[in-house]
Amino acid sequence: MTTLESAAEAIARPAVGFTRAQTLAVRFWAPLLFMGLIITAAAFILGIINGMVASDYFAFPISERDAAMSGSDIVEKKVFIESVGAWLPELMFLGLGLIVTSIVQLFNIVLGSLRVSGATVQQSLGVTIILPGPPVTARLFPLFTVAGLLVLFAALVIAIVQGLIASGYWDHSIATELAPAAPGDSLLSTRATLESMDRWLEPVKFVGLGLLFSGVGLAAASIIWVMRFQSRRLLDILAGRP
Amino acid sequence: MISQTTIEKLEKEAFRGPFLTLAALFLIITGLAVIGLAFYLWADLSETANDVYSAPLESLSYVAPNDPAAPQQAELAYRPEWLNLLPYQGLALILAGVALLLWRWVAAVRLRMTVSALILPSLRNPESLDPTGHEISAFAAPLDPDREAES
Repeated sequence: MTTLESAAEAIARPAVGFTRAQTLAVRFWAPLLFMGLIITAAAFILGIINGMVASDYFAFPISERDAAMSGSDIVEKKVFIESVGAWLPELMFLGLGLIVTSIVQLFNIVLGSLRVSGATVQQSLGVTIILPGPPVTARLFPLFTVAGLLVLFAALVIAIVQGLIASGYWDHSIATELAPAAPGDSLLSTRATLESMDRWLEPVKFVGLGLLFSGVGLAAASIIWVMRFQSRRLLDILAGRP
Repeated sequence: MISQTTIEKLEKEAFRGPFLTLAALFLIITGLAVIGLAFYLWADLSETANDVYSAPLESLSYVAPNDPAAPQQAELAYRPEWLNLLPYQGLALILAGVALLLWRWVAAVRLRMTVSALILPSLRNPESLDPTGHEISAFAAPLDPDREAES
């Protein structure tokens, strides 16, 4: 067998394969990217629809809007605007999160490719195959990715609940029911809950996206670490060290 | 020497895939354009806000339906419903473009390592190079998770 043939044999039958997580990454990066794009596009289209409903709503004079009774067309429009508007940003962020997760999976595939081909190069050279243990960054980036996605899912679920509460609240006449609500009234406490949720839910989605981008950074750091290890290993082989 | 066929295959692999790269560039440029458009629309809305809030506060609450200020007030209220989402849509397109470029990067890494696996043993042991132009059929096998998992 010539040197070239043994190298070809090493490429055809590598001694080391992808890890389970890397195999999953190969399968799922494209569906995640596709789902992310679909969700962001859907959120944007829903935003346009919500804008059109809002445009219709604000075409009515303010006195008519305030006096409209529960069940009327004007109130239904208000209910739609407030309830959809509550969870739409979280839906958009979930789509973005899925796209970033797809990017993390691609970094994981790069790591897998470096692992397999690093072993193949050593196999073709006929030296002992030495693979680096995973660095701390490689252990952390999957945790950051999963945590980020979970936070974004949780934010969406909470925002949907907020949307349902908003839907119940705004299904009243502004002039005769919402405006005259006195302290202690359930409508007023619902309003307080909605306003409070608005404030603390706002940063949650940024926390999720921040965790995901941190995952990207950690995965990139792992790649640098592996490439440096491989350079050192090649230099060792060239120097005749086993 | 390594066979001509092998070198041709390596070169073909190295320059393959302009479609994905072009698609990635298209996504990134479109994403940037969308963000630019959002910026312009926000700036435009700020002019409307400037016009509307130049009026006395008292008159803002009692705008008649046929008053020219009514559509401006309505625009201030409804445009953010979708305009808030537009920059994120642009960001999504840019990230999708980056993902496609990364996929090309994966292919480039695999190619470089394959070339290394072929060349390095030959450089270490020049007398054993294949003189007959033997073709390496296993070159640059496609990414197959099943095969990778089994090995």
